[in-house]
Amino acid sequence: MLSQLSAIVVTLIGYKGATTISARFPRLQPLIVAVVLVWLLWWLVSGDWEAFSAGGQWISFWLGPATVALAVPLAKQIREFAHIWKGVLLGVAIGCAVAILTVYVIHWCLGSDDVLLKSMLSKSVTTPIALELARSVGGVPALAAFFTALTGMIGVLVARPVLKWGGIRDDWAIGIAVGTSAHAIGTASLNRISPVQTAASSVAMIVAGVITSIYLIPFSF
Amino acid sequence: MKLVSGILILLAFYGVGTLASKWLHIPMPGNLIGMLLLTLCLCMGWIRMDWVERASAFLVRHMMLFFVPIIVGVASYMSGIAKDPWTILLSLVLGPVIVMLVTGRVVQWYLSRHKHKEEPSVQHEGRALDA
Repeated sequence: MLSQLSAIVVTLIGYKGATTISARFPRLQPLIVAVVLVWLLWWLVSGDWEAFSAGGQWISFWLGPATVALAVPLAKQIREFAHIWKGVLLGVAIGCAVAILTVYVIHWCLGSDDVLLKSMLSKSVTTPIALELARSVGGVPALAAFFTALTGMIGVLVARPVLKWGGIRDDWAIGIAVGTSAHAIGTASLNRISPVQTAASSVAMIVAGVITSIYLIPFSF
Repeated sequence: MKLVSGILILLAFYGVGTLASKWLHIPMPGNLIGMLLLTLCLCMGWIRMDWVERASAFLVRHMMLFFVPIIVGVASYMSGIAKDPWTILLSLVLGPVIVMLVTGRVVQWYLSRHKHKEEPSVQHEGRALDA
């Protein structure tokens, strides 16, 4: 019980530290900083990873209600998106199909184990959804969370050159492209650039979660 | 009080979504079902926006915190990752690049065909989701 409590405290301290550090250095990804800090702290304090997972569940549980909370921005923007919803749906539907296909083709060409493939299929949707999806298709949720976070961070890094190279200049198109490929981490990165892009990106990420979960239904049997 | 009651509403929707997924065998995560149900209720006006607004903003703002323990916990899977480094690296880098290009092109193509007809003139408030 005490070790679970200390895991919670260590996570909260690491998170607080990460938000403070990344406020000062905006180039650093707060999530990476938080993970590194918490990992280091726990390694110093105890190093018992089983106890850490047990305590961490008290925190990661809140991913569930946090996903439900995304209904609020979705409901707010539903009217604003009413006149271009077909384009959004079309783009996100094709993007999600491409995301799954890319992973599938690469794994098929290079060969790898099944669990790895199943943990990667949902990597471009927002983490709480990716976790649940990985669980339902037979992947490892923790591995899926890791790949999802990396995908988001790589997406943010490549966004500028890729969009420029592809000639994608429209605010809506940029937001939806980033939201579909780099989920919440990409959405957060647009916040400093344009409110239209941010709004488009958060809707795209939610729609991508729904569409990907429909695409993955055949994999769950 | 708004925060606490809002969180209780979100938890209730999460619970209903999880139970629906389990009992009705809906092949979709419970959190997603809960989110879609709440969106429906908000759009229909069955749940008032101001009941859940503060709680939602709070949870979404700290979303990053909730997945820190999961990613830290992945330390025990490191040996599995090291097995297929190229597959993983290629998937991780090519995936976002291709998806971003294709999605962006499709949406831009659609908008260029439809935008002059129905020019959207709505003001958009930037609503960002932290990580």
